[in-house]
Amino acid sequence: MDLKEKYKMKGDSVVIPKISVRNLTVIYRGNHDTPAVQDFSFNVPAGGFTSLLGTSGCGKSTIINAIAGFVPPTKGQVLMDGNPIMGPGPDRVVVFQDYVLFPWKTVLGNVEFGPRMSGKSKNDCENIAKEYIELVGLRGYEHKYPGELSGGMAQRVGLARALASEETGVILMDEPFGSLDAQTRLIMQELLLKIWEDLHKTIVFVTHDVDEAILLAEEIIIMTASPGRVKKVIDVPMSRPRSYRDIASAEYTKIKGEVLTLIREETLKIMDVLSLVKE
Amino acid sequence: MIPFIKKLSSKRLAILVPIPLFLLLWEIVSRVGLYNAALFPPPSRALLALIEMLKEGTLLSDAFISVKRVSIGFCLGSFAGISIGTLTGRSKFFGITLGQLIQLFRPIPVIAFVSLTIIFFGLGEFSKYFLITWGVFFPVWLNTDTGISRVESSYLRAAQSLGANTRRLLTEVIIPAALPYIAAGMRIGIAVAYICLIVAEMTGASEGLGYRIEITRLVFRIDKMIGILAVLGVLGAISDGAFVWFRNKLLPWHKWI
Repeated sequence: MDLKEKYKMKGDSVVIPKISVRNLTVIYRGNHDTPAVQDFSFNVPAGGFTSLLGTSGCGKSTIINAIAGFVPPTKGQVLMDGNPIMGPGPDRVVVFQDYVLFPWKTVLGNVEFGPRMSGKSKNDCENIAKEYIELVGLRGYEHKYPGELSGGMAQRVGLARALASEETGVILMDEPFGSLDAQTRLIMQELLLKIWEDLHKTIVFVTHDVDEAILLAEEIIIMTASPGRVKKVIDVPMSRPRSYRDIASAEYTKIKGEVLTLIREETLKIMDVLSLVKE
Repeated sequence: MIPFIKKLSSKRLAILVPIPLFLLLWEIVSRVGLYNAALFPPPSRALLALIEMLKEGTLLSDAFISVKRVSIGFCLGSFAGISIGTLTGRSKFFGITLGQLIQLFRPIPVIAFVSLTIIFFGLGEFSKYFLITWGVFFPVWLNTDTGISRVESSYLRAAQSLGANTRRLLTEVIIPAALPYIAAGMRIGIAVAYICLIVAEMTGASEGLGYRIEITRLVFRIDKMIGILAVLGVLGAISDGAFVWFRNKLLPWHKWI
C-alpha cells in the first residue's frame, strides 16, 4: 500500500498532506443565501497533481482563491503542511487564466519578480529568471514586454514566473489554458506535464475541460453545480510519463466516459434551474 | 523635380500644407485692406516685430523667465499632485478627508485666486510659482488618485502571491500601474501651466511673455502682441512634444495598456 492510500484511510495522522481543505464553506459578502462552495474537503499530497473539474460557476476558482489566501474561509479550514493558511504567500503561487503579467515589466522583469521579493541578489535573480525562461522555451524574449507576446507565450511567462519563485512548493492554476486556442493548449499541457514530472511541484489545477483534467491529473475532483460540493473523486491511474497520444488509449476512454456522465448530470441541473426560473 | 513631386504623398501634403496656407491666407486678407492693418497686421509684420524684440533683447529674456516659471511651477505642482494623489488614492481615510477638501478648491478658477495671491505673497516670483503650482496640482492629483485607486486587484493578488510586502506592492505594482494615468494628468498639467503663467504675468509682473502682451496692448503694438502669441504657441507645442517623447521613452509599454 503506498503512502497515498495510507493517508486516505487513516487521515493525515500518518502523512500530512501538502494541501488540506477541510469542510470549506465560502460565502461571499452580499450573497448570504448561496455559498460559492459548501462543506468541501480534499487533500493533495506533496508532489501531487489534483484537478478540480466542474461546470462554470460551480466555485472552482473560489477554492483556488481560498488556498492562495485571497479569500478567507467562511467555515472550515485550509491547511498547508498542517498549518492554516493566513494570506497570500510565495509558497503557493497562482497561474491565472488571463496571465496577469505585469505589463510595465519585461519578460525578465516579470519572471524575476518572485526572486526579487525574496531578497536575493540582483545577479541571482537574473540567473534564476533566465533559467526558467529557458525552461519554457522563451530564450531571446527576455526584453520583450507582455503586450508584444501571443497568448501562449504570455502564459509560458506566467508559468516561468510561478516556477521562478523557488520557495514555491505549490502551484495553483486557475483555468490557465482556458483562453488559448486548442493547438496551443495541447502544447502547453505537454509542457506542464514535463515540468511537473521533472520538478516535483504540487499542483492544484482548475478546469472545465474533461480531456485536460484526465491528461494531466493524478486525481480528479468532480464538483457539483452551485453551490460547489465534492461530487466524486476519480483516480487517473494512467502511467507516466504521459503524452497526448494517451488520449487515444482504452483506459483514457473509460475514464472519460465516467467523468462525462458525472459532469453532464451537473450541467443538466443548472439547465433545469434555468427553465424553472423562466416559467 | 518630378521625382520630388512624386514623393509628396497625400500624407506628407497633409502635414506640410496647412500652416503655410493659413499664413498665406492671413497675409492676403490683411494686405487687401478690408480691416485696419494696425489692428490686424499680416504675419510678415508680426515676424518683423519679433525680430525687433529680439534685437531689443526683451524677447529672449521674457521667454527665458516665462519658461523658468512654467518649469518650476509644473515640477512643484506635479510633485504635489503625484504625492497627494498617491495618498488619497491608496488610503480610504485620506481619500475621503483630504479628497473632499481638494474637490472643494478644484472648481475655483485659478484666475479668481490672482488677487488673493498678490495680497498674500506680493508681486515677487513666489506668487507666479504659487499660481502655476496650484493650477498644475489639480489635474495631476485627479489622474494620480484615479490611477492609483483603480489598479486592478488581479495585479495585487499576483504580486502578493509572489511574496510582495506592502511597500513593494506600492513601488513595484501600484505606482507603475498608475503611471499612464499620471502621465495623462501631467500632460494636461502642461497646458494648465501655460494658462496660469499668462494669468499670473498679466497682473502684477514686470517681465515675462504675459507681461509683454499687456505692454504691447498699452502701446498699441498689435504686431508685437501677435508675435508673442505665436511664440507661446510654439513653446507650448515644444513642451507637449517633449513630454510625449519622454513618456514614450520611459514608458515604452504604455501603448499596450
